[in-house]
Order: sequence, then structure tokens, then C-alpha cells
Amino acid sequence: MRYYAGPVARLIDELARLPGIGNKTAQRLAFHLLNAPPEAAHNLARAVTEARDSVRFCKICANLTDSEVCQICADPGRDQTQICVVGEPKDLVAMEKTRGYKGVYHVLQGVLSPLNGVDADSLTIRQLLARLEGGRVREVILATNPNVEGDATALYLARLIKPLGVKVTRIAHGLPVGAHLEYADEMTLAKALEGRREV
Amino acid sequence: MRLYKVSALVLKAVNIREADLILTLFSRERGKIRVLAYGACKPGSRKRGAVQPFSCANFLLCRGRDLDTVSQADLQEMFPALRERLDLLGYASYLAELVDAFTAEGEAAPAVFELLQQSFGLLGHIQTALLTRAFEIKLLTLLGYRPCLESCVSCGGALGGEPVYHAGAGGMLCPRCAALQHGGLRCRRGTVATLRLLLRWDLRRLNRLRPDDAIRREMRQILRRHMEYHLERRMKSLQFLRLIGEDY
Ligand SMILES: [Zn+2]
Ligand SMILES: [Zn+2]
Repeated sequence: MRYYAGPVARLIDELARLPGIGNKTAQRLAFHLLNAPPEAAHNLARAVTEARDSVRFCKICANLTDSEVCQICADPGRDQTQICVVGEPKDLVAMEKTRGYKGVYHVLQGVLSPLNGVDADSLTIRQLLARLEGGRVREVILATNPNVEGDATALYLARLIKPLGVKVTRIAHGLPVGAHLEYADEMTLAKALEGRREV
Repeated sequence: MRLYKVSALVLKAVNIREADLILTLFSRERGKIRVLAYGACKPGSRKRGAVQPFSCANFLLCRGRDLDTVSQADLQEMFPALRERLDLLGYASYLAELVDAFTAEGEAAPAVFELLQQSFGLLGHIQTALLTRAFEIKLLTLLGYRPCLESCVSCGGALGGEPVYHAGAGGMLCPRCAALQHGGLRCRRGTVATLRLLLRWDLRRLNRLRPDDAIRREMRQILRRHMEYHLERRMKSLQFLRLIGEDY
């Protein structure tokens, strides 16, 4: 049985595909958009399309960017010999907010999850290793979340990177076990960065 | 509010919405339970350490409409080595996944709780592969899936020099009965004898055993076939163990 006209049903379907949105929420969002002035829906549609079509991954660090190389990688003021490895772009943003870090980043686009089956190839690990060739990088700072997945990823990366003769550290102090980077206050994160140690 | 207490090991923590976790616990009192831990990923959360996988904690749980929620969690034991060594992290994940896969929610099995707790504590001290095999066969036994190792499952006779493991039959067959069946895994007498030792011996004694590589390989094959026969699937953490070169 169909309760809604075709376009409405389709809108609800599409919204319900988004993470964290169930059918009820999708309906609520759909009716909000349909009841609001047309511009609201048009602006949203345009923002989605523009973001999707212009944003891509930085070819160096795999962060989200709207140019070939992201602002951080292109910034001559950043220390290219220090790479901070994070799981997701949102973790990079959290680290940037500390303003205490002057090196560059590498975004893995995920983490290894021992209990959910892993696909190491879907992460940007090979790209990271390629960046370490040539010997310009002196330190890799592993800043994955301090939970099982983050630990597994950091330990695995440390094992791959250490034989290359690059110093590998892991942020540790100040960041409580099990906490997510994005919820840490700037002080805690700055401390964590300071207190990183070799792994 | 309806509150109750359990001591439990955390098998798994899955991040849902923001900073909330769904935990799969294995408790001494009530077996496996799935619970919600609100705000557990925020650095300020007091539950944080206790809701990490492989932790052992005392939980105060509150009955909920759908899932029960964690009201308080008091960390008892952390097993830090399981988070600091890649191989141990992989094996701990595997043991936790096995318990999750072989148990149903709400069926108390205190011996399984103790087996897992003891094994987490011994990882890093006892040869990992042997500890894992012993864990597997003890777990299968506690939950009623034990393969028959003493005599031929089919005729009850002695196993003789070249016993054959057969998953469908539920254990070992003598060569004569095995000849009448399709498939099966021929193995050494020493393999069957070592499996029986692993089943009987206390985990802490396992370092005294020094089975050769062939026996180790056969034990792994037999147990894996046996488990996959009953579960009808593979453990996901094996993929991780293979990635880190640790699937022995
Ligand atoms: Zn970049
Ligand atoms: Zn027989």
C-alpha cells in the first residue's frame, strides 16, 4: 500500500538511507522541507550537489578538499617532516583546533576493526607508506582514537612504519582510554599531543 | 527504576549515534547481555574505561524498554597487554568473538565467564596458539558442542593409528568407519591425544606442552572445522589475525 504520492515517498526513502535516520525521522524531515518556503529545499539541494561535486580527497593526505591538494598540504608554513595520522577528517579538524600542531596530516579514511572484519586495502595505508619513501619525513604521530579499533590501527601502522627508520609516536597522555578525539576539549588534546610517546 | 548488578567482561563495543555505545557483555550472573552506555565516548565519562572491550567490570544496569542501560560501571581489571600488543589484541578479539558467536543472550554460564576472564589474563604468558586451542575446546565443551575424541563416534570402537575427524559425524571416526563416509580429516594419534590434554588441563599448565607443528596444524584444522560446522560461518577476527600474520 502506498501512503504518499510518488515524489514524497521517494524523498522519504532517500532521507531514510542516511546514517542515523530512521523512517520516522525521514518523514519528519521530508514534511519540514515540504512545508518550508521553496528556497529552503532549493538551497539544501544546491549545497548537497555542490559539496558532492566539488569536494574530493587531497591527493597527498586524503583529507577532504575542494582542490587537488588541500590547504594544509599546500601551506609552506607547515612542517612536512611530521605527519599526524588520523582516522577521519573530523579528527583532523579536532587536532587543528588545538593550534598546537604545525606538521601535516594523513587521513586513513577509517580504522581497522578486528571484530568487524577488516579491509586494510580500503584505508589509505599504502598512500601513507608511499609518503614515507624518500626519507624526508622524520616522525609519524599516530592519533587514532584510543579505543580497540584505534589501538589496533596504531599498532599495525607502527609495525609497518618502524622498519622504515621513521620515528613513530602515539598520542597518549591526557586522552582517556575509550574517549573519542572529537569530544576532547582543546586542552586535553594539546596535552595528548605533547605527551606522545614512541611505540 | 529497576536496577541490577552484574560482573561482566566486555566482548564488544559498537559506536552508535554520537558518543553512545552498544556493549555486548558476558556476565557471570546472566550470561550474554546487550546494553546501552550513553555518552561513553566522551572524555569526561566515568564509565569510559570500564566499557572498553576486554575490560572486566562491575556494572549497575537499569532495565530499559528495549535495551538495558549502564547506570554505573566500576572497572575491576583492564588487561592492558591486550591493548598494547598487536598479536594479543587480535587473539583477545577472537576469543571474545567466539563467546559472542556460541552463546545466546540471557543464558547464564558462569564457567564460560571464568574461562574467558582467565584466558584474557593469561594471554601473553602462555603460548598464544595453544591457549587459543585450549580455549576453543573448553568453550565447545562447556556449551555442549564437544567433538567426540575418545572412541569412534560411529561404532564406538578404538580409534587406532589413523583416526579421521568428521564434522558431520561429530568427532573422530576409526579408519574403517571413515572409509564409509565422504570427507573427513585424517590426523595423527598425537593430535587427538593432545586435544584431550588441552581439554583436561588447567590453562596455566599449557606451557609444559610442546606439540610439533604438524599436531598444532591438525588441531587448528579440526577445531576450526568443528566450530564452523556448528556456526555455519567464519569468525571475522580471523581476517584480522591473518592480516597481522598470526593465524596459527
Ligand atoms: Zn592534504
Ligand atoms: Zn568406527
